[in-house]
This record gives sequence, structure tokens and C-alpha cells, in this order.
Amino acid sequence: MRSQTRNKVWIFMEKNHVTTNLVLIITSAIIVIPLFWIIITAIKGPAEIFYRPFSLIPERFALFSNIAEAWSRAPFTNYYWNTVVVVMGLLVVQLIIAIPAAYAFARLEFKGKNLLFMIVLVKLMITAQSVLLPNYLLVSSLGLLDTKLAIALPYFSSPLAVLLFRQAFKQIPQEVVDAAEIDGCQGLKFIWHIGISLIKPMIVALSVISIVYHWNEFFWPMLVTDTAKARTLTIGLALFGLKGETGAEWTLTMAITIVVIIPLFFMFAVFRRQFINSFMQSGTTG
Amino acid sequence: MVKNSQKVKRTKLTKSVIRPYLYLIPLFTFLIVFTYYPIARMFYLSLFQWGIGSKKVFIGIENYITVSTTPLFWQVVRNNIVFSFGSVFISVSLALFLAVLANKNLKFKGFYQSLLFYPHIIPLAVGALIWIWLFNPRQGLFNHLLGAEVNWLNSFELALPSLMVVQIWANMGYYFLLFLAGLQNLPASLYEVAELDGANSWQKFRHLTFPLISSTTFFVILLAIIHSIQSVDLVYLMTEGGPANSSNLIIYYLYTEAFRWWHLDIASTISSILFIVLLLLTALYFILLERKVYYA
Amino acid sequence: MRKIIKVLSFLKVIVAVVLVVFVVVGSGFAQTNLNFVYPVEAAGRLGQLIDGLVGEFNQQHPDIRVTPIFAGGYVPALERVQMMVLGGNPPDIAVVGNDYTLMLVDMDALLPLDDFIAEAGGKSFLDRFVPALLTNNSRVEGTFYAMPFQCSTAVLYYNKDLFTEVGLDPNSPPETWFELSVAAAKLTDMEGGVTKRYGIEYQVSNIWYFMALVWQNGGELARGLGEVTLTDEKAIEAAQFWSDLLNKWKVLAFEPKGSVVVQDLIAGKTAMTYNSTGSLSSVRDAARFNWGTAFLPGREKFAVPIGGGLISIYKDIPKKNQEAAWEFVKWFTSTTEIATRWSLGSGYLALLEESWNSSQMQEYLKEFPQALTAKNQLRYARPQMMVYENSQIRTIISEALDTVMLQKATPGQAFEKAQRQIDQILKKSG
Repeated sequence: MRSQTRNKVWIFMEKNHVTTNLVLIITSAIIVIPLFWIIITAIKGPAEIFYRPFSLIPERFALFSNIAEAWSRAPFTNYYWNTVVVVMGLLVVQLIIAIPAAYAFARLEFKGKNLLFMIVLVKLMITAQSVLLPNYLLVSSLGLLDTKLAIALPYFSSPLAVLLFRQAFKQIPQEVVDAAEIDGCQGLKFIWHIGISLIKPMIVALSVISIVYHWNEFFWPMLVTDTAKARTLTIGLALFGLKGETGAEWTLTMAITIVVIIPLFFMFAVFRRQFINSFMQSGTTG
Repeated sequence: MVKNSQKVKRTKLTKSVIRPYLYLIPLFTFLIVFTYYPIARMFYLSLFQWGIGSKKVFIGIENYITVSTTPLFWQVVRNNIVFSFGSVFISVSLALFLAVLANKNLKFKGFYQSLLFYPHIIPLAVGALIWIWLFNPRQGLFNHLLGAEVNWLNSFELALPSLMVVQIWANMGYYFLLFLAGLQNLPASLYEVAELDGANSWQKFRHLTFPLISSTTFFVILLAIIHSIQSVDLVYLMTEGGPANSSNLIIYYLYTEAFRWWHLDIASTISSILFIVLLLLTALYFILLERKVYYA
Repeated sequence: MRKIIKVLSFLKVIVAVVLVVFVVVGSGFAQTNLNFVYPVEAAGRLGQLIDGLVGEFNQQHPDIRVTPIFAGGYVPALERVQMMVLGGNPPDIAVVGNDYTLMLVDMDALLPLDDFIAEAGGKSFLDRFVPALLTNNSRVEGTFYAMPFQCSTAVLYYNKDLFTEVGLDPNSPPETWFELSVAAAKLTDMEGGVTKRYGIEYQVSNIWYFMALVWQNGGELARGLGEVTLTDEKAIEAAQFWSDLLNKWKVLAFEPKGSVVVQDLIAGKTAMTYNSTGSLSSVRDAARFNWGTAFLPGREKFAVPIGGGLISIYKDIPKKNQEAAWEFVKWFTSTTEIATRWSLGSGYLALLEESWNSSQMQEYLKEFPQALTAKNQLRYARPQMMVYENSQIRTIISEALDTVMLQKATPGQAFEKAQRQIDQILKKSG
């Protein structure tokens, strides 16, 4: 009886897969148009764009010469390096700060715990953009303008990390903690030797989210940096694409766009499951 | 020897009391210095008349009165409400619809997930560039396909909706994933019962799926609202709030007051108001979802 | 206790990691280090040219080291400078748009240059410059706060091939508003309700062009530093003319921000544009047709504002930086050879009379006569409008222009509303 029902459901669903697939294909196709157009534009020669803007096949394949040309015009090598340093450095700091705190919130008893936790959570809603001005004034009065540190500082304390790790620490069975304590392994020692490996999936999830978010950030880094010393890729690209009097050179801009988005796309392609789980994770926890 | 062991005991006790706080010190140091202190200072500064090179004069809530009597402020608030409501409603309902559709044993599910989600890992600023190019009035793809010359980003009626399109494009796939995650946790047995009762797809959605994932929906809506308030990148790069402020949004307006016109007193006031609004949204969210936050 | 020490050392690790990850190596040379904010993105010819010339200066002055900061366009550069001043860390030297001298003086950010100029020879030093470029908002109430650096005027670019195609004389471009409308109408190519080609295109919201129009019509936009006269009948007429080009005769491509104006000219989507002389070399390099430049058409008279950037030295920097900075400014603007090369490379107007007379320049103009138009037009050129709260007031005027162009209000209504806003702002700023 039961299995019969299930069969029926299955057949019912099977029948509808055509429409389902059709709807999903059409939506995906629409969403993909911009990506498609980046590529079509990026492989054309800079002059061709004026005379044959809508041709799908270029007269000559110019992607690499476009990238080379754009690269020679702006210090993209510095931008790239700055981005990597900011993103990775920030991630390390976030982990170091968040893990012990999350452990305390999850496994230790102390006065004012709920209040303190609330204070952390409220920060989830206050990202750098809504406090642009006060943060700017602060960073500027510390003499940190135009440094990589200025880009990262407001994000050192990551409430999302605390939230994710707190949950993970809570799921560790008490027996594991007790057994470790008997072996003289508690507190930071416990976190370092046992805790971290137990909450690894959450660390991966947080890392993915943090990397994507900060790789892509634009407004705050733009405000606090001026030179190739600290500027990140997104800003370099956006300003390259919109420079002054002669307008954007679309072939070059789109060619560089490809270079900027490729690392994350590559990561996404290789660790697709991990990526998707991480972003799903960020939702089911909060 | 005895003395020593007493000492150990005492330090052990102190230690267990202060240990949690020690673990929290780094977190709270940065939290206070780079979030709460600047906010407090901003509130304080919003009570003064000041600017570059001018002395601070205490004027109470006069800045708040100035802001609330500035027509541009209300226009920007109105724009932001239209923008948020429109982009949130469309992207969330579309995401929910697609997630319910895709929540099956589909062969190419991963493929769809990737295609719908990829815009979210492109920097929004870069997305803005791509869309400027697509929207280009005489050389852009869209007008070419339409065979018309529509001034997407330079018209009173279309500038804000055009930004909404980009916002939806950028985030819909993320919401789709969140819904999919929510749907996967629903108990299959309930659907079997509904199936037995002869419920059709709409009834199942209306009476089962929708109520069951309401907490996910709440979360996604809140997230989408926050995304929509923060989408200053799009305004900055695509329209600069134009034409004539028809696509100006609150954070961009704040930015112009602060960093273009240097009305720092007015900018602090707007920041403070914005902060209160965000705080209220957060509070609302916690009230609605208290159980969900603390269930763990 | 040991645990506490451990925790403390843990904190130390944090600090160490922070330091290691974000080490910023400060350079400790005995040189005078100057930073130089320049309004261009590093991309492109201009940035590279500046880099090259600055490098040359550094080589010739081993005790000074100038580092350019490329801050994006004029607006971002100005913002950057203001932020730096506000942060108590002003730049040493900066080039900003030539209508912002007042704003920076008002912020008490700029160093008066009169003493330096007197030291460099006073009148004989100043006489070497093209006079029109010196009056270009360098002075506030008689005191020099800036030197001309990159100056341009708007000129009319036109596609000669298209002129021939529609039966216009490619060697007599329009000289009046009326001739402009006629030519634009002829050049506009409409097919089945869609305009394939426009007669003319320019940044309609850019007050730089609008100013020219108002003056051409015999009107004024401002009186002194503290009064804007937007409701001047002549200004309203000028806006009406633009609106007619766009909405009534449909010969003007609507491109308020102007990011694609040059591209449209090159792609043949438009036949004429108003544009800065700064675009000369881009058009020359990319156009596959014959093209020319001409004065902006006039009505009661020819008129055009001088645009571009001025170079200034900032006040709150050490004395030795101020002196080194002046050395740089002097070198760049008044060394004939450098000034000539700067002009030839950038397309901006040469600052010195000697540069215009140099054989290099004469040869260049023979090959590229389009570049001469701007120099000749200087006879009709004036510094652009500069008032208190300049930034916000420009924004308001350009919003009013948007409103007119999109027919949300008549020029009279829109300008009256804008005038009220502006009056309020100017009253508040005192």
C-alpha cells in the first residue's frame, strides 16, 4: 500500500519534470545572458565593438590581447595581490577571534551571557555600509587611510562566524569534552586540539562566505583607499570601466572582468557542493 | 607546599570565572571599537552643527528637524521603499517558486543551482558594469534585441526599475538556495498523507509547504531587505541617483551629503536615523523568530 | 596562572598575526616625500604620461620624491582631497577641477602662492603664461591659490563624411544655434520610428556645456561668489533650446552623463558632439572617417568656459614639503620643454606662450589642425562659474536640467524651484 502511493507520487512527479525543466532552463538562460555577453564582448577587438557590436563571432579572437592591454594600463597585479592579502588575512583574524568566543558562548556559563550574545547578533544587521561615516572618521583619525588594514578592520569581529561556530560547538557531545578534560585537555588546548577538527565543516562554510563577500566588496574599500598600495580588484575594475572623458572601453573592461571573477568561479566549479552548502548553511543558522 | 596548593586552587577558581570573558575580549574589543563606539559617536555628533574646519556648536535635535524637512530626504526614503519592496517581493517570490519546482529528484538540479546562483559570486560593482553595457542606449544588447532606443538608466520611470532588475539578478539565486535548503528539511511523510487526501500541487503548497517553511521565508525576506538597503554600489556606478534623484537611495544620499558636500552634521543625522531603522528591523526579526534563533 | 599566561600569549598571537598580515612598510628616506593627487584613473594615456613626467622630475631632483595618487575622475579626486584634509592628513600637491578653488580655500586647505610667485619673478613669471588660462579661477579675492595645469575648452566635433553625405559643406560647420539645429536635423537619420543616427549629442546634464549656452545667449549664471541667477530669462531660453533639440525636433541623443558620447561619434551613431579638447586624441586614434572641430555655435556671441584642472599646494604640510611642492609645480608648469610635451601628449592646451610658438607645436598643428580650434577659441573663453557650495549647487542645476529635458517641468518651473533651493543653501552657508 505504502510503496504503491510512493510509486504514484513518483509517476506524478515524473510526468511534470518536462515543464519543471523547461521553466528552470528558461530562467537560467535569462540569468546567464549577462555572463554570456561579458564573454562575447571580451573576445572582440577594441575597434570591432564600434562597427559590429552585436556580432556573436569576432573577426579575430582578441581576449588575450585585451587582457594584456588592460593589464598594462592599470596596476592590476597590485590590485590582485592586495585582494588576496586582505581576504586571506581577514579570514585568519576572523577565525582566531571568533572560535574562542563561540566556544565560550556554547560551552561555558557566565554572567551576562545572553546580553553579550545579543550584542554580537545585533551586529549582523549593521554592516560597514550603514556606518560608513563614523567608521570612516575613525579609520581616518587613526591615520590608517589607504592601508589594507583599514579595509579589513571593521570586519575583524564576525558575528556570523560566532553564530556558526557556537552552534557547531553546542553539538559536540558532553562526553567528548569530559574525556578530554580527564586527559588534561581543556580550554584553549581543547579548542586547538579537538574543537577545531570537530567544527571543521562550519569553518569551511564561514571561509567560503567570508572569501566571497570580501573579494567582492566595493564601497567601503573604495572610500578608504586611494592608491595601488591598498586598492582591491573590484575597485580597480569598476574605475577602469568607468573612466572619464572617453567613456568605457568595453572590450578591455569585460576582458578584465573575466580575470577578476575567474578565481571565485573556478573555486565554485571545483567545490560546487561545498559552496552551495555553505551558503545554505548561512541561512539555516541565522 | 600547602600554601602553594591553595594558591593553585584559588587561581583555578578565578580562572574559571574569568576565562569566558578572556575568550570574549578580542571579539568585543573590535566589536566595540569598530562598531559600537563609532555608532555612539555618530549619535553624539548628530547633535552638533559642524563641518570641515568649523567649530562644533551644540544645537540639540535641530539637525533632525532639518533632515525631516528636506524634501530630498523623503524622496530618497520613498525611492528606497519602492526599490526594497519591489526587489524583495519579486526576487523572494521567484526564488520560492523556483525552489518548490526544483525540489525534486531532477537530473540537472546541480546545473540549475549553479546557473541561478553564479551572479551572487560576481561582485555587485562588476555586475553593475556589465548591466551598464547591456543597458547602453545605442550600443547595448537589450535595445538591439528590442529594436528600440529605450533610455533605461536615464529615464524617470525606468531608472529605478532597471536597478531593481540588477538587484534581483544578483540575489535571486542565493534566496533560491536558501529556500531549497529549507524545503529539503520538510518531512516527506506529510506529503504522502496529502497525496492520499487527493490534494493538488497548489493546495499542497498553500497548506503544507508555505506554512512549514515560513521561518525560512521570514529569514530570506529580512536578508533581502537588508541587501536592498545596502545596494549603494548599483546607484553609485549606474545612475548616480539620477535623473534628478529618481533613482537615489538612502545610502547613496548619505554618501553625497557626507563625502561630496561635506555636510557632516546632516550626514551623521541620516546615519543615526538609518541605524535606528536597521535596529528596529532586527528587533522585529528577533521577536518574530525568537524560537528559531534559540532552538539550538 | 599558567592558563592566563597562555591566554595572554594567545592575545599576543592575535596582535602578531595582525601585524604580520597587514605589515605596511613605511619608507624612511631622508628625501622629501610628496604625494600628488591626480584626477585620472591609472588606466590610459594620461596616467602613464603623468607617471613618466613625475619620474623625470624625481630623477632630476634626487632630494624630492613625488608619488602620484591616481584618484579617478575630477569628482572622486576632489572627494579624495577633501577626505584627506578632513582626516588631518592633506595631500602635498593636488590637481582638482578648476571650479573648486573657492571650496578648498573656504576649507582653509590651500597654501597661498603669492610669495612663491614673487620669488620666481613675479610679473615676468606670470607673463609667460597664456593670459586666458591664468584668469581661470586660480585666484580667490586676488590671491593666487593655484596654477593652471591642464586646461581645455569644449569644441564642436563633427563627422565630415556625414556632412558630405547629407549635402552640407564639410568645411563650414554651424556657427549659430540656428545653423546647428538645421545641420542636426539634416544629419539625423530616422527609420521606421527608430533613430539610426542623431544629429548631435553631448552631456545635457553637464553644467559646463550649459554655462556656455547661457553666456552665448547673453546671460549670466552667477553674480560674484555668493549668488546664482538661474532664473535669468536668458538661462531659461537656453534650456528651452536644448529641450527643443531633444523633444521637439528629436535631433539630440539624450545622454546626460556622457559616458558614451565619444563612442557614439566614433561608431557613427551621432554626427556632431560637444566635447572637451581632452578627447581629441581618442577620436583621432579611433575614427575611421574625416572629422573636424569648430567653435561652439553662438547666438548673441561666441562663448565657452575653460575647464580642466588646477594644481595647488596644501597648507598643513611641513615647510620643507611646501617648498619642494612649489619646485614641482614650477617645474611642471613653467619649464617650456616639459609644458610643451605635457600639452602634446595630453591634448590639453599648452600653458605657455613659448610652447605655442615652439617648432614642435607648430609641426604638430600642421599635422593635426583640429587641435588649433581650442587655442583660437580662447578669445571667447572665460573661467567657469564658481560659487560657495559649488558641488551641491552644480548637482541641483544638473537635476533641474534633467527635469527639463525629460519634460517633467518647463524650464521656468524647474529653474525657479532650483533657484529657491540654491538661495536657501547659499543663505545657510553665509
